[in-house]
Amino acid sequence: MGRIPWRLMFAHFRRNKLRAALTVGSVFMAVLIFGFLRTFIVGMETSLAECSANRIISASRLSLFAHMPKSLEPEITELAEGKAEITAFTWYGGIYIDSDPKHYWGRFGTHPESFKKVYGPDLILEEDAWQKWTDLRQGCIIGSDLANDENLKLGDRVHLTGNIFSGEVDLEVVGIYRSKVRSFDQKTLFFNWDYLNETSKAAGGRKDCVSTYCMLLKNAADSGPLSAKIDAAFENSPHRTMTQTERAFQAQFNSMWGNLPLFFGILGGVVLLACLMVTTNTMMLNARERIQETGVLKTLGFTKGTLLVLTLTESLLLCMFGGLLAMFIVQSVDGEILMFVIASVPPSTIWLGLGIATALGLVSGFFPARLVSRLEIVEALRRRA
Amino acid sequence: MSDNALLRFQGVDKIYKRGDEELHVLAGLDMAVNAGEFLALMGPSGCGKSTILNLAGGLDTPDAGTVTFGGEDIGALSDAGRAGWRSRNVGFIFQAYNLIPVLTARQNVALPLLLTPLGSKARKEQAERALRIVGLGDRMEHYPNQLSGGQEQRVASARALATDPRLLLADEPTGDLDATSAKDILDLLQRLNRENGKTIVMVTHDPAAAERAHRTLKLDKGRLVHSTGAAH
Ligand SMILES: Nc1ncnc2c1ncn2[C@@H]1O[C@H](COP(=O)(O)OP(=O)(O)OP(=O)(O)O)[C@@H](O)[C@H]1O
Ligand SMILES: [Mg+2]
Repeated sequence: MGRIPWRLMFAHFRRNKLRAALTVGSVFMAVLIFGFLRTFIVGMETSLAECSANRIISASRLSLFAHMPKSLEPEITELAEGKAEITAFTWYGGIYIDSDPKHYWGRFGTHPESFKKVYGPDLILEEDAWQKWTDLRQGCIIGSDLANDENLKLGDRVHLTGNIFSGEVDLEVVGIYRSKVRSFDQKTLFFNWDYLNETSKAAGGRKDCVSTYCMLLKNAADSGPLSAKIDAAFENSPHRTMTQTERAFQAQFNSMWGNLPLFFGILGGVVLLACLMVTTNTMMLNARERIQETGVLKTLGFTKGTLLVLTLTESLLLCMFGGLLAMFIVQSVDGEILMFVIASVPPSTIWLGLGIATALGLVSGFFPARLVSRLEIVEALRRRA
Repeated sequence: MSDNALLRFQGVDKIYKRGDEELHVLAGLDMAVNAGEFLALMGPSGCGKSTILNLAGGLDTPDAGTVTFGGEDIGALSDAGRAGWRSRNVGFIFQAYNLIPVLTARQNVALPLLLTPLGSKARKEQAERALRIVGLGDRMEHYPNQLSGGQEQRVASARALATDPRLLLADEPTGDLDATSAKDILDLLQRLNRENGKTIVMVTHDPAAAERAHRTLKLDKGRLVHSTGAAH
């Protein structure tokens, strides 16, 4: 194959800047959307996969938001027969600063000692902080992301006004944890259940409430039998429970949004397809406008192969440039994209995004390349521009 | 037919098919063009003049008979082989100039040089030399739409010259030009023939243009009907 008139390709870009920019832009946007959606889905699936098989969670059968009485704890402990550590969580809700959604992160009342037994293995927190939290009634620990977002340091105070519960709690940050697993987020605050319960009771509000009982099993094989045993024990009580593994619990939580992965998958696919139509149409338009030029190039002695490479390269270059830009943006907003999902962009998404951009370039360059290589010189020259 | 023929048509048929209809544009055409000759081709519209040029330049192949260049059968070459042969041996000048609008005059002229072994600096110099030969040394960085028709045709001539081919094929090169510009182009072709020894086949409708040639072939319905002037 002879030398390729690359200058001609760049001259076309320069002459038709807007068209080139629009092509790059459409690929950029489609691949950007793909990158975000995939990051979101992968983040969701990874956090599910990292959920421990050794943990089971009991919640009210009525709904995730219904409370159970604290009095179930000794009964469940008895049912567990020493095969599990047990802790209790109570979703506090409440208002921090104002009702802006950005201040609406998770906050739970729990027992520092049992919490440490059940969740300690997944967390990074100094021994000092655990101790201080256990000792200080108004102490709380917060995740490192929360510390960053709200600009909180050790010793800072966090004031929450109850809405589910009555009264107000005034907390001191005694520890900032980091999580070893994605399933445990770094945007949550934990404080003493006893303090929660007493302030609400004193203000005449709800008392002795628990949202979930969480258990860490010594042996994962016990999860099925113990779950069944707990649910059976409360079957005929006013507080029927639903006990499942942490993974199933998380999946149930995720499914509040419906089948997001499927929906997002279809959405991403449709956007990419629309983009493919736009780029193919543009490339075809280019090729048609240049029929006479193609005839001239062939007359001068440029071969079919040379023109094929030139045509394909043009569409590849535009599409890959759009893809690169998109992936650059995607990986630079690494971190939290949407509420609830802490997603770092997996390298596979970057490679897939670039791959898709390349495929867009190849496919949209295919038809014009075919047109160009099939064109008879005499036919091409006959057409006046 | 003399022995120093550079280009020779022997029993050439060209048939175009339109649906079921067959159009015999050329039927058993014999003709020879000698090296260094300036030949004019005339004839009514649709008689097959452009078809002859296309066959001579290897843009198309005959349905029967042979077209030889320096004894070599052009029709026997592969597509790529013919493309390479064309880039070395033939320069084309069209009625519609056929310059590439997104390239400057110099870039247009340098384009065919990309198919030679020349380096980029040598290509640039050669393109500039060709533009000076056609009298456009001061318009090198102009785009085709910044040039007059006559200037465009001179750029096209420079492009045809750039690779220093032995054969120039010109299809109504003055067809779209005013009298003065037409005269400039004809002067140029005549000079290239005389001073640079280019063999030229030019299609024209203009008897005055044909006067410049050594010999004029008149064509009707795919056959030579008349020949004036002596073989060169
Ligand atoms: N690709 C084609 N398909 C069908 N018919 C064709 C094709 N190319 C040329 N013809 C026909 O062949 C005949 C000769 O065409 P050609 O272009 O050689 O004529 P010409 O002598 O150059 O005419 P003009 O002086 O108008 O340029 C015409 O009748 C034309 O319609
Ligand atoms: Mg013609």
